[in-house]
Amino acid sequence: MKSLKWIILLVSMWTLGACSDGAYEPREINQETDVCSICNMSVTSVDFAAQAVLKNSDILVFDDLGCLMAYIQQNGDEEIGAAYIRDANSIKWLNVKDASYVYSKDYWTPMNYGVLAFVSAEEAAQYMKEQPGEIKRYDELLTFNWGVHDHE
Amino acid sequence: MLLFLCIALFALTFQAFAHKPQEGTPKPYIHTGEESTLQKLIDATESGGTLVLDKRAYQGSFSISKPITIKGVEGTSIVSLETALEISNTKNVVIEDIELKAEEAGIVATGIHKLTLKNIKVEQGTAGIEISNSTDITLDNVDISGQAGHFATKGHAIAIYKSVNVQASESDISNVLDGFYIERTDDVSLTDNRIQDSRYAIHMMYSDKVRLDFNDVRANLTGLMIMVANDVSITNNSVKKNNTLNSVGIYTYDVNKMVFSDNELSENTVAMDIQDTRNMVIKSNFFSTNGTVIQAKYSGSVSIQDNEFHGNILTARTDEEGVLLQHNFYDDYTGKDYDGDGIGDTNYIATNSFGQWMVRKPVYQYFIESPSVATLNKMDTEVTDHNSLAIIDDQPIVMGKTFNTNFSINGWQFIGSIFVLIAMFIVRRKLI
Repeated sequence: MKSLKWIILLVSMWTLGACSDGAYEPREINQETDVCSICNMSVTSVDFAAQAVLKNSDILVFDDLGCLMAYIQQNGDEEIGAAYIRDANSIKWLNVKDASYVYSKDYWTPMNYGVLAFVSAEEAAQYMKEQPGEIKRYDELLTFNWGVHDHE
Repeated sequence: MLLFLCIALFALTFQAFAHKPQEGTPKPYIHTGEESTLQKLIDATESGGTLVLDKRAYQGSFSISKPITIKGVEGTSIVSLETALEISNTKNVVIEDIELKAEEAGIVATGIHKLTLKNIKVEQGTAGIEISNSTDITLDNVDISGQAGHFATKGHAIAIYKSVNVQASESDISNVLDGFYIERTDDVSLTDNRIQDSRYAIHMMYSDKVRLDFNDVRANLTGLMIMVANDVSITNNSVKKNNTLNSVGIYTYDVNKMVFSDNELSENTVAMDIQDTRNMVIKSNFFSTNGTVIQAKYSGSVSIQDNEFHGNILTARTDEEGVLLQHNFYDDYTGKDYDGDGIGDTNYIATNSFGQWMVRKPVYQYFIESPSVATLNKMDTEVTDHNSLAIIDDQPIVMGKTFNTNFSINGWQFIGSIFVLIAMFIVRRKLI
């Protein structure tokens, strides 16, 4: 009987632990209602979507990697538990810090920022054989000049 | 009996593939004098020549790669299980008076100098008209309608990429993703188009020298979506009933040098959402019955002057950069004009504490006009007069210029009223 109490206690702790802020999982995009938190565009092109799971469990959705980076540039990443970007070759969500990136001004993305994410450097290199671009690291994206349009 | 049915079904199969023209209908007349499929007719037409099509449906996908004018008549159509018409790498192409029904796009054009599409009707499959890497494009009276359903499953009606000098007028567009999607295209003029029941009526990205005049956009998620653009003029447009979840009348994002004047915006959730916009003048517009009129972020240089605000819930809400409000008419201004110069003697205070909170958490809009928020608004007007962060118009106009003289009557309501009056008259006479 005593061991049963311990088992229940351990299971409860494990269950509560699984529900804690430590698990910052991405969610599915709803094309009909999700709107980019930065540029306000509806997220209809899911293959390019990004999301930031905040430490308070709120999830912010972005239509383009550039919008996620704009959010981080404006607000810092202290409140972000984990951020994700869609893999260009599959429907997987990749942690932005683990992904490999390729940039070309000729790549189409919803905001035309032209940066695609891949699960590995090999897949990125493979993609560049057919669609020439340049490799970018995550830390380079934080200071990247997003946008292709010069105003002034 | 069973044998007869089998024979009938067998014969019907062949009937479906038969191409025998119906008796009595005129045969296609063409300048080249040939009668064949449309592709053969196109190929047979000399470069720069005119191909006149007759009243019939041409089935298949067709391509054009030389200067040509193709004219249809009422009833001329192209029906395709793929893209109906592909035009590539040529100049001086004119398509007139043709209806397109395609499972994929109606027209795909790339690398064209001088393309004119006139009196074209498209029943949209996956997309309407796609044009890229082209110059001098004229679209006149192009009507495109999509299928019923949510916009997320549809394509753009007219999509133009990497092109220069686009003129579009008198188009009717409904039930699509974006009415006009224009990307990396300069010198754009859209005039007198009507777009409704879509995601964005006009969606523009990375474009310079844009003119939008006399367009009527209504019941879309967002009316005009202007993003990353330079030198934009939007005048005399009607933007109405964009009032679903997340709806905006006009949205600007990263725009420089913009004039927005003489437009009418009514019944929108948010009439204007302005983000990261510089050198923008909002002048002589009429804003009525919107939820919020102006919502601005990172746009401190925006000037809002000589406009009229009628029956809106909230005039403006901004971040700490604010906007410049000057010389506007507000129907909720309660000040007096004792010196009779037409300008109120006290400031109009548009700042609203609750409005500022709504910028951060839009979901708070559901509490608008609740008793606590009404009390908060009352307190705002008493204490924010000397607050440097307040949005204040120090020259509010006390008399609006616009008088609504529209008169309309519902025909059925009128006829019903007449019947009721007659019935009452008859009943009264009977009773007497």
